[in-house]
Amino acid sequence: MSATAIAHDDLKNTDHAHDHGHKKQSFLWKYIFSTDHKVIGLQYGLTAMVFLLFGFFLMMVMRYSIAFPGKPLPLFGTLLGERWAPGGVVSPDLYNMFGAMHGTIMVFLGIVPLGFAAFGNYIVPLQIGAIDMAFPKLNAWSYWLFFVGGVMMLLSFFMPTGAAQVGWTNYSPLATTVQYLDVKNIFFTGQTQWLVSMIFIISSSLLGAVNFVTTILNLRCKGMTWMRMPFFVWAMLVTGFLLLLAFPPLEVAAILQLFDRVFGSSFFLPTGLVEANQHLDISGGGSPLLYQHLFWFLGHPEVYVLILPAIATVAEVIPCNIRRPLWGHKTMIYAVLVLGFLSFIVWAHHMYLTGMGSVVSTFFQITTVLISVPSVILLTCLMISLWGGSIRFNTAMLFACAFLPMFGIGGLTGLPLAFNMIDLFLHDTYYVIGHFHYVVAPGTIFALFAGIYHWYPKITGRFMSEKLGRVHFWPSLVFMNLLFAPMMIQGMAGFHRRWYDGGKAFEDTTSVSNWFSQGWSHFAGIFGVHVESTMIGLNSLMSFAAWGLAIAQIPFIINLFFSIKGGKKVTCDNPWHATTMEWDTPTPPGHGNFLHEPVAYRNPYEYSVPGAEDDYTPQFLPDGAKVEEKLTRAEH
Amino acid sequence: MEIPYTVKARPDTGLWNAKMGIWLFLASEVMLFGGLFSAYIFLRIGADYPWPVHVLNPWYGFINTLVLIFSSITVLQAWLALKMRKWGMYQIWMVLTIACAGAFMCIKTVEYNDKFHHYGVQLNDGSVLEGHLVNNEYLVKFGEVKTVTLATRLNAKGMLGINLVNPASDAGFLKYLVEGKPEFKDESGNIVTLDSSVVAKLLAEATKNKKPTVKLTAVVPLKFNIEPARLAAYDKGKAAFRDGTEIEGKLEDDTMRLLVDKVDLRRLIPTQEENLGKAVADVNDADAWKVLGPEWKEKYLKHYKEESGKFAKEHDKQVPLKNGDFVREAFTMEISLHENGATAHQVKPEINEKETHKAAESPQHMAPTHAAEGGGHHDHPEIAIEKKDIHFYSNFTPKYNNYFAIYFALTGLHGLHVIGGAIVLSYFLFFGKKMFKENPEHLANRVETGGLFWHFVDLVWIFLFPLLYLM
Repeated sequence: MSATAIAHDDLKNTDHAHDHGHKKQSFLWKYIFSTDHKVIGLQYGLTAMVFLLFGFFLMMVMRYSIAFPGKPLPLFGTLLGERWAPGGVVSPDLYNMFGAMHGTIMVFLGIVPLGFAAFGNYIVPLQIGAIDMAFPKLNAWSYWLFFVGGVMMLLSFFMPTGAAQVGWTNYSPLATTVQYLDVKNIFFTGQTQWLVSMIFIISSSLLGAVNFVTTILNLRCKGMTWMRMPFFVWAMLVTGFLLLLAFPPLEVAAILQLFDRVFGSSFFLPTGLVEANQHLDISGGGSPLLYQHLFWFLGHPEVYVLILPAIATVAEVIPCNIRRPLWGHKTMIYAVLVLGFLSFIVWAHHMYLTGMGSVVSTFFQITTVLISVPSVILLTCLMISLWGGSIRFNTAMLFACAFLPMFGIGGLTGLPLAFNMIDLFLHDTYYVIGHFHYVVAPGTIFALFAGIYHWYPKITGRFMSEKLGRVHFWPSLVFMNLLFAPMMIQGMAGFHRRWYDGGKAFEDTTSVSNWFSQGWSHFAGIFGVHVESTMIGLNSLMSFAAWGLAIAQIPFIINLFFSIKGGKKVTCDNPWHATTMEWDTPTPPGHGNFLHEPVAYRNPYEYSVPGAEDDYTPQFLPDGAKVEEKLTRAEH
Repeated sequence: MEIPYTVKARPDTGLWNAKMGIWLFLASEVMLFGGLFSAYIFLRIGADYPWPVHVLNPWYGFINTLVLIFSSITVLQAWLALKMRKWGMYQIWMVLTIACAGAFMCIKTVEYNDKFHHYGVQLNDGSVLEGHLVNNEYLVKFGEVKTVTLATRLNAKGMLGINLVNPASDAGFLKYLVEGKPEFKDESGNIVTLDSSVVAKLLAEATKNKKPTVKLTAVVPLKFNIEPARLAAYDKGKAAFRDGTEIEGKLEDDTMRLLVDKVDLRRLIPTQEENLGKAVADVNDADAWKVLGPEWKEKYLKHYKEESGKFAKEHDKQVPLKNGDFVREAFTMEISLHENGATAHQVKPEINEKETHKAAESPQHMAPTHAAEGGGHHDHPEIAIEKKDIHFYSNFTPKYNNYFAIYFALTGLHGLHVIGGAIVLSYFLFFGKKMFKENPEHLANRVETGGLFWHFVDLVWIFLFPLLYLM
């Protein structure tokens, strides 16, 4: 390998993608059925972003139904079909359908593929100095399984019964019996298609996880010892293990529920189940609780699958932009390992209301409180890193900085939910919704934005526009908070998470108010708009915030696509003056990634080393070499 | 530029990539089957009905265990042959391995087939009769059918007006027509002969006119024999198919005819019951005797006395109802005409050739005609059970109870693993020659990877066998 690498160093002016001794590939094989980890990473990223946007659109329709129940939906109302939206008014069925699909799409088709699969695929092999993933073909297979699963999930909207309707958790017995009677073929119902697509998506994740873990363990370059691996790689390793071990029980749940629906078994159906005044034609004797155990055994590690890539990304963006080493790199590694382990023994805190018994509840309360310790360690390390740094506030850093308090709010509001007696009141209220959206939306998604702004120059060779970046960041931050903070206030007042009319049908019980809801009412009054001063009035605030958030994403989309051709060109391969291995590659990295054999000489975050000439000493810099030589070497 | 460690092991991890990959994959497989085994435990502990034990023939399972263990040895030998670079030996051992996979699946097919033809019927009070359907069929018979209503399902126009699957009536119901031609008068008096294209045309017209249904009148009254699974609902004068089609006529017969081979009364006894006398009194009034007749009740009481006498002799200190084995022996009874010396009353139902052929495939299912010829003890009385007496019935598929459900889930998933493994090993066998010549070590590594998976599949079966057949 080194022999070819030396040869490459002499070829200064060639396109890296084409000079590796194999013939030019056609567009189809280069960009569609590629086995190159970078192309697959981009495929994952773009697909996931489309899914995210679609999931966001579903949520906006739901928010309209909440804020203005019974009023026809503007623009899109007629497209939704007379069956689901008679006269353009969102029906409860449609609301349920969109709710279930919003959750499913965001979690399984949006964040996991974007955070883990896209960033992981692109960055991990670069950061450990590998030329590709360990199993490139398998990598392509996992993308295409994911793609097929995702498309099937979307096509289920066009089934005669509509898509799945019972929430992203898909609890039995409802999930088994809904869309069961009165259909021609049980297989062609949204609810069944949900299960089938989940089996595709889970298989994709499993193959991906095998690939990631093998790559990280076996393909590290020379000198890349365990503790020299950046935190990003460590977090991806733990995430890989979580996916590997937590997803199979969900696959079991999906297979068993599929049996229940298609073959009429009763795994999750109790004896004597009655629907529409009729005894169902089932044997009974199953257990709905079994489904919840199988689901949440995945479900909780899944939460960390959503958040760890985010923390990992922030842990790369922050040290680079504060010019200081990551504070407590080793501590963070140990914390993330503990976190990964503990995440397997906390699942039943989602099930306090099922009457598991106080002993089981107590056990899960203890483990749940324990798991906050490593999470807090991770966040604290990132916070302390900021202390005394000379911070460069580019857009990536703004998002990374915003991530810290947002994730903090999300995490801390979870603490009360860990306790059984508090959870009895807050379960299934908007408080829970507010809590986990703070973790995932302004938390994970902000971190992923930071990652996109940070690595964009490496991927395309151009910077994203900083001006548009700021127009993207500040409104997003404001609207995110206006959207999710009132949820907690409403939730504590008892608002249930699945009201399609936002609580209008329960006006007598939702007529509480506080300074916040009164304030919003007064504020709206300034503009001559009448808003209830009770909690229900907050619905319109949140809905407008949601739509505002949508508008705030427009500059990002423009930025993302126009910067490919119109952004400011990078002048060297390491434009942020970062220290990790991915900046040692040409821009954009060609097939095979590195122009010479990559070697890791030191720890990943050597910024502002005392006595060094520059404020950064990259991992790939040989002892005694000067940074400038290294920088200009690969410049074209 | 090539990915390192595809053939040679990385020194610090000691593994080449595929070996590490397969071990990680097996870890996730452990979680998959672990989840299923946990589900088994959960369901068995939580069962509110007598969990079936000893219902499978352990010999099938035992032979399959031997087959799989043997194949684990042969796959190892195949790998060894490659390590010694002996292509011929490798081929022989690999063929043996794949043949074992085939044998395993054949035995499995026989076992599955048994279960598809064996039915259990739970009567309203909970007593269960098991046996085979006469002619292997249970049909709902409608006669004098004059009106057929096709449904357009106008209201099913979904999102963006697109439906990927046609929700409206199709011509599927015509399959069950047994007497008369499908000639109908439509609403304007024209005579149409229905087939799938005509149905589609009629429905398209009705949809255009925004009519929810198309009503057709038969020229001559028709007769339908319908599989109950195709029906969404039916009563005395009407049957609604799952696709929305409705026929109106007269329900002529929905009686189930069963060749009973076992009666099971355990569901009649409350779970916490300890008073044996009360349990026997409950069983005395079982609905099963109304269907089977008093003759069988007497035989059963005799059987019960024998069993309880035996039990009292062996374990006089135990509470009988707390002993699962006793409950199973005493409150169930095999029903066979021959054993009870009642061959004179044997009913010989008609069996057409096709059914006889089917029956011959499944060793447990011996149709009475066979039994009479062979003088075996599988001749069972035929009984008629009215629909109103049936609480629930099914063949021994996942629907019947959670034991069969988890049985099919576990063995089905295991079977898919066997097939998958066999496909991969066949690939190494038939397309491995080139790689053997170029890089035999790489092929040996591949076979090692496949072999590891194969051993795992074997291991899963070694857990499955005692769990499903013996415990």
